[in-house]
Amino acid sequence: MKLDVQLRMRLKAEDRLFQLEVAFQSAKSLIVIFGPSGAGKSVTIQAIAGLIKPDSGRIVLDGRVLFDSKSAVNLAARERNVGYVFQDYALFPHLSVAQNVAFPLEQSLRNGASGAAVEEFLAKFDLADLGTSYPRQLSGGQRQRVALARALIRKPDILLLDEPLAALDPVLRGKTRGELLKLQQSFAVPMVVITHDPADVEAFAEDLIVFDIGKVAQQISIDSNRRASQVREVLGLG
Amino acid sequence: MTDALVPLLLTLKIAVAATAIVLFAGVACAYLLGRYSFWGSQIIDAICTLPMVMPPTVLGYYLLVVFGRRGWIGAWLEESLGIHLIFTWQGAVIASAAVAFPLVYRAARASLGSVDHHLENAARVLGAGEAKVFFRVSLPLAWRGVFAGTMLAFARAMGEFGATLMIAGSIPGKTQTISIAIYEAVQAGQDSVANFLVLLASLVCVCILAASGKFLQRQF
Repeated sequence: MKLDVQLRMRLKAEDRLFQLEVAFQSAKSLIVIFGPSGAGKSVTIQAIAGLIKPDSGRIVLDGRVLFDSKSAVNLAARERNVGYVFQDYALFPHLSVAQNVAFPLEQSLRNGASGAAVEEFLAKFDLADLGTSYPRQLSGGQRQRVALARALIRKPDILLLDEPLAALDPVLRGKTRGELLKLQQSFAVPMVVITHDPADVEAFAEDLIVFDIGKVAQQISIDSNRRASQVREVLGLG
Repeated sequence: MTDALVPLLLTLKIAVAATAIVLFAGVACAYLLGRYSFWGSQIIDAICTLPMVMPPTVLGYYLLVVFGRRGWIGAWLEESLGIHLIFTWQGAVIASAAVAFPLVYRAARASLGSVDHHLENAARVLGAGEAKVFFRVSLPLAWRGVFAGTMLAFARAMGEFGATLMIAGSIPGKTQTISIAIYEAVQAGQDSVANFLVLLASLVCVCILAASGKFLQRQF
């Protein structure tokens, strides 16, 4: 997998102007984007997913051009085949767990997508008994598993995770990190994880991209043998 | 007694047809104007809301200008399709629809606008085209507001008087709706007819409100 991102954009929020100018490349399968809130991390992965159009730049995933301002390429979000797990999971509240997971497979506007694949995914994500439940009836961890199952059932080329652990209680976080790593391996899907928690960086990063406000401060390849000490060094945690 | 049912059934027929039209048109306009911002979109928004604040007789006059025999659309309809709308129940449908339109439009605009954008974006990333995003995510989440607006529109269409009178007149059995029949009965001093019609109209309105309240209680 190779991800090449170069983008520039000016965003106006209320009376504030935010300038984002980032460029990074990675061929690793676990990329962590670390930085303070307001640095532009979410905006960057939203641009990769096709939810925001940059003013200029280029986004290439494994040789497939998703966006290129020079040649006026801008694939719609639905054509990018990118998995995205939102920070609040964005589960459809009016659909059951099974319907949420089946959503990407629905061919027509009516529900009733291929049952077998959905069953298999529900079982894989430990949701077999919850198929008929609604998102509001689930715990935080269960919601996250629904969001992951729904994103992965389409077999995306890359999975983007926006602060995947922020909405979970601290006890669950350690366990969930392990589960995410296992998923990454079993689905062999490259992941981009956004976080502002150094513990996530330590758990996930093969390539670490540190954001400062609106720009990439540094990019470091993490050596798996001395991961912990390297991460502490880079993040200045002694 | 059965004579009194004629204006009631006619009113229901007109109100149902007008509500079906404004449900479709109101939601479509709310979606398009909420999603795309272009030059003049605010003016169109104001025009869509105008019938709510304009006196029904003024609106009726405009409709006569447009749909009358010498009107822009009326003349064309008559010449090319042989349709004329003035003094017909279809004309009353147009009058009711014009008056009730803003109620659906405003309600749909507000409720579609309040749907969480993350959910619509999640659907897009999951491969949904804009039609699927609308019919599977936005509309089901906004349906309460749209439904409430539709019920108000139906009630408004049931009670339409001014614009209907100007466009369709008051022909018993043909264009005389229940509101107009009540007015005529009072004018003619037929108190018992008026009483009966008033009770009937009130009963129908209460039933509609109660049924829609019950329907809205249902959770998804």
